[in-house]
Amino acid sequence: MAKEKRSELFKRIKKHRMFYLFLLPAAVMVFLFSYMPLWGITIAFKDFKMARGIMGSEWVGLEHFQKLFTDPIFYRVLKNTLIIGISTLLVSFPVTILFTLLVNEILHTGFKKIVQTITYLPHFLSWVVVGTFAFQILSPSSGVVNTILTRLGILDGPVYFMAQPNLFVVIYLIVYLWKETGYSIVVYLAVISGIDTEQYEAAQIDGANRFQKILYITLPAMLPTICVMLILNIGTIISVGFDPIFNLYCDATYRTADVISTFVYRKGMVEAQFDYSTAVGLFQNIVSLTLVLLSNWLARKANPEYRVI
Amino acid sequence: MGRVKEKAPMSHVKKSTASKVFDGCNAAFMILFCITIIFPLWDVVVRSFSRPQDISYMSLNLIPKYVTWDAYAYCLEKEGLFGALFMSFARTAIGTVIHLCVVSLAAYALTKPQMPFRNVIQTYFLIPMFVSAGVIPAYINIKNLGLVNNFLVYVLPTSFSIFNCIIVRNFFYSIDKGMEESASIDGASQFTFFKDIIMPLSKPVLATVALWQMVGQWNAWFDNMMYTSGNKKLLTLQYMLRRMLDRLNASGSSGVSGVDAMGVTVDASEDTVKAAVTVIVVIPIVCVYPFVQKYFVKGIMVGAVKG
Repeated sequence: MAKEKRSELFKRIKKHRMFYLFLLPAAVMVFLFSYMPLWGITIAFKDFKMARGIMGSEWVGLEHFQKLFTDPIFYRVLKNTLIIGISTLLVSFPVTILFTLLVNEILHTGFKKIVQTITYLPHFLSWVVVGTFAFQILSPSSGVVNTILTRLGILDGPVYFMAQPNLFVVIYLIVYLWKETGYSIVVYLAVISGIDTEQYEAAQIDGANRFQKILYITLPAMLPTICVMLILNIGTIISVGFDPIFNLYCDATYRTADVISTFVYRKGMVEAQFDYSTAVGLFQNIVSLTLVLLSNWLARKANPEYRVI
Repeated sequence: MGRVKEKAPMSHVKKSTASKVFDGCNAAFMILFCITIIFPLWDVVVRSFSRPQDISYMSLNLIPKYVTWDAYAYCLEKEGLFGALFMSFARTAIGTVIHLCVVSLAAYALTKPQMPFRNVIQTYFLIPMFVSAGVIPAYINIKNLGLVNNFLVYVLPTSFSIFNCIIVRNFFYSIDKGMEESASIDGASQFTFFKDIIMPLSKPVLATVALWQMVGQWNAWFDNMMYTSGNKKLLTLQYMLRRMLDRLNASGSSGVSGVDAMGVTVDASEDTVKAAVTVIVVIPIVCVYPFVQKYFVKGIMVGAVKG
């Protein structure tokens, strides 16, 4: 019986041999660039010397983690990460929903199309370009913001906004919203376009005004998607992106702008503390994975039909 | 059917004053928001064509006082703009082609429900979505693979994405299965079937994935900074711009002027040069994007519907 099964399996494998070949390039790439680096995580527990390699370096146990949890800079970085991560979540969510509703209320189809085309655009620009824009617009020597504020008499003289630690989070949020709000409404607009028109017509007959229609038809229809998106985004709080921070901060704003991902990069690539920065990165990955799994579990509880993939 | 698009059917009803005021405010807000998006783009174009001394504090610089190509000429001469432009195009083209091949082959194989170990393979592809090694182990790995300062580091690590693979696979699922059973017998004809029938039928989804990948490749700069900053030939436009940002932050806004090989004075401050590079970086996106926008939107819809 078992033999029969095995030969049957073998037959099926043989029949599909071409498809294994199809999978080979992808499997090799994933192995080379996703699985092989995992081996390097071990240097978080080693005294890593590039010349001796990963294998040859000596184990030091939890030394790097001890250093990590007694490093005041690390706590500063962790605090910044949480502040930026949580405030991004808290601000971008309501803003995105509000913006979706406002775009949806544009009655003129042509104007709506133009607005969508323009507001989606920044999403496709790199953070390097967006960072360049931010430094340029807020420049003390030629930036438009300084020019306007000074002319209006609000400022006495030029301010180097990008170098103000106290303003960093606000500037970051504004730039982030500027870049991503437009495009992030796409998912919600898809939900709204699925709402049955008859609901709006029935509400019309019942004498509902526009605001009431939004409140009682559009928003409730969006709610399940909003919940799933919100829960999913909780998982990303600790992993504030490297790109936006790296392209918006400068030496003067490290105090409030430095987050774990930028800290890991600088410690590792600039100061060449490979082992220590790997330990910091590992800490972030573990917290992040826990949050992601937790939020996926929550999302599934909230909406049983939801699957990660 | 024709009514489906109209989500707020109010045109046939007399609008209240409040409703009209709301429409006015909404339109004003949208126009304002669009201006904040267009302004930086316009501003950078103006700067790139300005003389450094014309860009000044207390004026809005809405049009260049004196149009000059100096900043562009300076980029070409001194900064190796042409090489960076070529490198950006090369990685975009090659990277996208490799990505499409690797992803669509894998996606097609994953549509075969009878294939033994299919679930194991899928799990193998999915795990990296949740577990990643981090920047430093990735760097050591690339170094060990001998890919530091190598062009391949731009196009190989990006060659597969499970997210895109799932989107393409879902599209393949929707293609009629009966056709295939009648066509496929042995391995060689399986490949021919994939190449001559499945691929041409999947143009919409392949276009979406290709565009995503093109934007990603064009906008990539981190790999350039991490792995190939030691090789001038591999400099891309994005990293060129990034380095200018670094220099600007380090030095404040100081002017550089010099004399080029022809003995002509090149007068361009960091600011106008940076603006010129920004314009060149942004132009392909801004020019191509409005025409292909529908593919981007379609793609994220497929992604949102999930497999």
